[in-house]
Amino acid sequence: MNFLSPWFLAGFALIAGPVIAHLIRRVTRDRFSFSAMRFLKESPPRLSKRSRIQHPLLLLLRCLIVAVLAAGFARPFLRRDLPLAPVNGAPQSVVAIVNVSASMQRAGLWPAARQKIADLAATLKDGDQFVLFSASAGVTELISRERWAQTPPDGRAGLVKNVLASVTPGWGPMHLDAAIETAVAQWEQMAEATDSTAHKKLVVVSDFTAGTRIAGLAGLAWPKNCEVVLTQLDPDHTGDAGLHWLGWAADTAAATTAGAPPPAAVARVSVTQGITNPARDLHLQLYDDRTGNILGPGQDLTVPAGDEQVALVPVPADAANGPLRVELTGDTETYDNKLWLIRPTPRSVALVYHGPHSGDDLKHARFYLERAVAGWKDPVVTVRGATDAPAAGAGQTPASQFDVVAEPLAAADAKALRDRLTAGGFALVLLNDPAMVDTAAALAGETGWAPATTARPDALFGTIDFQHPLFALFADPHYSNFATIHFWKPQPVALPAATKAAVVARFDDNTPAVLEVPIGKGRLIVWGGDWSNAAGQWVISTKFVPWLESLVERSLGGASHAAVAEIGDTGRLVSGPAQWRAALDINATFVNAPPMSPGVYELVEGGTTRLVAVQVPASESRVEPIPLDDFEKLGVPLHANPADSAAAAALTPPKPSPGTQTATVLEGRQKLWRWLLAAAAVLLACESLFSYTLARRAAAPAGAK
Amino acid sequence: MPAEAPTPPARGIDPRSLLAIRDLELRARVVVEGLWAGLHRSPYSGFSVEFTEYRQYSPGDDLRYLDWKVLARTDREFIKKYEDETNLRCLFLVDVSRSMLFGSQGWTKADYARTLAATFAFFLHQQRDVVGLGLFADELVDYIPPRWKPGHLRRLIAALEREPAGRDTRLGHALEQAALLCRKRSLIFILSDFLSPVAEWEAELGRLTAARHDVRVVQMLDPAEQTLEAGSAAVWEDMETGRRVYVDPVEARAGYQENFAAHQRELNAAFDQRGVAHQVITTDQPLDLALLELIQPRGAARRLVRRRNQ
Repeated sequence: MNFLSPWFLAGFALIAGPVIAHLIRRVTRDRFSFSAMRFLKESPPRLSKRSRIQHPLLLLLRCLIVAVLAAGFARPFLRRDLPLAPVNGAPQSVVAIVNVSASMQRAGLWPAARQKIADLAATLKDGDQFVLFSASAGVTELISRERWAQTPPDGRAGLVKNVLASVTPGWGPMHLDAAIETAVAQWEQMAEATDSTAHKKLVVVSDFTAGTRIAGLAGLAWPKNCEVVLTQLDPDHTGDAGLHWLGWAADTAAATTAGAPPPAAVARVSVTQGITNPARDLHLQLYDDRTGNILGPGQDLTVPAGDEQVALVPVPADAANGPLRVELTGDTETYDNKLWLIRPTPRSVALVYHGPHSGDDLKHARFYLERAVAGWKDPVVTVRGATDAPAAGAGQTPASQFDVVAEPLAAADAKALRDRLTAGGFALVLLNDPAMVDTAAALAGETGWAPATTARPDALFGTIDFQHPLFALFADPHYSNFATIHFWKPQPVALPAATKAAVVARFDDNTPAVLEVPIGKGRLIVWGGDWSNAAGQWVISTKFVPWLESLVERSLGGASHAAVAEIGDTGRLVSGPAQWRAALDINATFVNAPPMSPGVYELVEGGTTRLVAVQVPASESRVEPIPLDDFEKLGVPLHANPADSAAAAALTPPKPSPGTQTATVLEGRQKLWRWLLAAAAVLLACESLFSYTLARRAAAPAGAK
Repeated sequence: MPAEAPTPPARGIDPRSLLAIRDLELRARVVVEGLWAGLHRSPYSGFSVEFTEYRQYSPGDDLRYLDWKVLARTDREFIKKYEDETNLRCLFLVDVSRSMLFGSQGWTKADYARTLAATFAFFLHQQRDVVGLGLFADELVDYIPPRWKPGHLRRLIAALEREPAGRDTRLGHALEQAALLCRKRSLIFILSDFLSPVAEWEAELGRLTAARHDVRVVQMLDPAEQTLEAGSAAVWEDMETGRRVYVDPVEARAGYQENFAAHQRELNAAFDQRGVAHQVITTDQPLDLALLELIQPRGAARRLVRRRNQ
């Protein structure tokens, strides 16, 4: 029998209490009232020996209760069980995860983290396996199992030190759940390589801020014989103020100062204040990121602890049209005090209509095109005739052109248009007349196209390829019903066998209705019919405008994405292969890897280039410690509370006695104190019953009223 | 116990059951119902008489008792002979001092005495006798003169039901006050434990008998008071004076019984000397049997009924 808290055995001394109490001769305190005291004489008091113990059985019971309670508090355990913790010589698989997210840039955290890892490595035995990961938005293996095994034991401390010296906290968010999943997978690899029953230990060294993502731990399957040690780091300064992007304000009048010209744009940012942050008075300032010049007067903010304040940052009208930067000063921790801004620049498209028709004639497509594109914010579309000159004084020349061909083109015009298409342009040909088929064939550069006759003057779309980008917008079954749109003047095309044209939609008689022909870098879309209310219901259907917008977006290289993203979340900006480059670094080259530090980047995707502001994740500003109970709720097999001295001792020198942890585990498994407590309760009940019996027996002769 | 006391029947009403009845009047009714009709004679000639026999008139007889109807019918003089039995005037003096609060049976002597007095009063009231009540401790704390009127019995019982105030016993003073208040010749029952020294009340008792009252003493005792079979080695406290003494009843029993017997002898002598009937009733006796003992006619010297030949 061993005891985890043997100092409680001093409670056995309390047995002296009942012994002394039973030795003391009790002076009778009984009273008896009697009526005929006149005939009584006082009895001489009976003297009993002081050494005589009254009610020895009762005394025994009471002594037993004290002894059992003292033994229970001492937390006994038996050594005969196999210990869970590794004994000397039994190898264990240790995986360590060190947090390198942005919040670890706070003062005092990273040196402490390196020290904790170094201390952990020092406690490992020669046969132990060890893997070190750094974790942020992704997981990086700093020390692999093989590298650890290949390093001589006396060089392992140096290995850890050298590896950690080359690592610094980054700017990403902390996805701890993903890191722990990686660690669990690593255990499986270790088990395959060596003994699968080896004790598994995961040590997480982190600041465990509230922004740490741990939700993914809920469904994690933990292997047997594993334990997780959470080592929380304390920064030098508590609290933090953060700066976060909200968006561009639609109304610039709100931020206009008296006497000053209206700003070019107004950025809306949020300033969050930590609960324990001592800094209350903050200052916001806008800079030109390219030159570093101060823009505007700046703002003083007083944000109460735990509060969040939204601030409007006006961009002066005379500011250069380049990347901007907002900085927050007055905060101790500066890693999340900068924001990069890209001013919104709506794309412009010239929709060139090839046809003699005016925009006021509702029998022709131009009428519907002009009304469909009216009011678009991005892209901004202007419709003009092919023979019209660009609108004078419009300012900028539209960067892109989209051609809609509604009349047969002359050979020269067709060639010019085909050249534009080859260079990457988009054009739409409306087959409002059988003669238009030849124009379409000329633009496509193919022969053998012929107008096909349709059996019925009332046609519907029979099949539509919703996988094709032209109709992918309506792929959802909620929107894929085209059966209510009638085409009264369909003009299908009979295609030759050898054609590059892809039939995207067919009429219900299976004749081609909508074609797309790749021409160089561009695309030619052929619509089998006219766009007017006389030709069908297409132009007045609810699907017409979204379809047209998606087509124009496609001609511009894709839908307009937000030009702001957080580190670790830049993947949502791209839909395919993309390349990044720091916008202001003249030496930077395009790389495929998404950016891992904040700033302004050029994103090249699908032939288009745009600027993207990459910010520090907002979650990294939530630096309040996460309640470690949350890990238990998620089923994490915690070894002990990190605040516990036992857990802290596992990571900090001096080295703990191996037997201490073993004893704790044994005692925790056996829980003998519960049996002792139950025995004390039973003894207490017996003592109460016995005392009651004795008291009744003593009081029985007394009959006084 | 007096030698002429009738042998009590083997069975009676269990005092434990009886005293468990909370209502005193109901308790009295339970005892009285079925009890043998009281044989009682007034010590004083009343105005209501009961004819028993005739005898020949002789000169000198009171002409009030001449039977004129017989004289008219037979022309002979007969005197009616009466026995005075009714209009018994009875007064109960009940001790309510602190010493009467002792009881080792689950009830006190005061409970028993109050029940006995109420029962007897109820019995007499049914016989249309006049009954009075005096409650005493260090003095006569409550006095209801003998009456017979509607509601009188209820008044008596209400007085008896009142919880005793718990004072010292000064029997002599109380008897002196009773003698002053009860002028007419009466049958007086004194219900007390008579544990106080005889010298404290002997003279006042003699004054009552000298006033030609028929005084009868009922000494209420708890069985433990006779034998000291109670209590344990503890500090014993005098209920009257509050004096505390460590007493081991085992050791003190013999001396106590001796002293108690001497006190009883002294009591008997005092009562005999003044012609006072003395009856000891213990609280474990069935109450109806105790009542029977009280109402049974005694020997010639202590007869309740005094015959008076007209």
